[in-house]
Amino acid sequence: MNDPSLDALFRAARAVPPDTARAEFALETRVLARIRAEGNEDWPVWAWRLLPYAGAVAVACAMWAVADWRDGAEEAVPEALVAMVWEEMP
Amino acid sequence: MDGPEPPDSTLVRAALRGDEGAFAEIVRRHKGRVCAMASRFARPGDDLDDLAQEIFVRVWKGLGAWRGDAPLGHWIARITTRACYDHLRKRQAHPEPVALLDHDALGEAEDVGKAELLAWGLERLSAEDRLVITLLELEERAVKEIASLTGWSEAKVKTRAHRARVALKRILQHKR
Repeated sequence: MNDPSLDALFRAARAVPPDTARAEFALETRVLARIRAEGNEDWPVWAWRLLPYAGAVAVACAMWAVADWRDGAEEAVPEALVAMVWEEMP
Repeated sequence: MDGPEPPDSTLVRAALRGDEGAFAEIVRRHKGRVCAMASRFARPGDDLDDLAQEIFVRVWKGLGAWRGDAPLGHWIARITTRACYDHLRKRQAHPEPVALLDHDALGEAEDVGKAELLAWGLERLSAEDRLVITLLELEERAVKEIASLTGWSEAKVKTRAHRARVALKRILQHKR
């Protein structure tokens, strides 16, 4: 689709060079600063993302520990009872 | 810098080892072309500065993916294209009005006025339309090159360019 008025606009826009001097000035310094800043942000971001998993692991460990303690207690009670009864027997 | 300048591949290897000076040199070498292309999509000032920074941060993060089979400049141009497209899409979600001076007739305005009118019209195109028409008509890139930069097929680039011209024409006619 050739349109002379559109082509004239494109020609005119090409004739006006974009002014990039301000953006180019010391760009490398700003880029490196941003990369360093993003690198420093990584730890808290990852820590925050891993928080639910860490919490789930902690809960699982706690449940396992409680279950283990209960098993141990249930096994210990009959032995204590047996010992007590044994001692009371004439 | 003393002596011959190291090739891009040497700088990339050094940057991958964490040499920030090498990466700064890569930015220095390519910032002119990157900013020139990005300026077609960003608003002057902070918008362009932010976009240029975003492009080079993406270059830094993706540096390990550069295989060296194509020139580094071309690889950076692909990242620039992708970043500009993302920038346009993001901006469309949060549009800002673009000021337009009173240039009534297309044929009577001077170059700056025509460029402003075109910028006003381009701002109203979809991200895809604006990307393809800018690369084709303002950057004067070939269809094959645009296909390589965008990852689209050449047929899609041609179809999209045609639709973009029709849409732009319609937008500018409504302005008149």
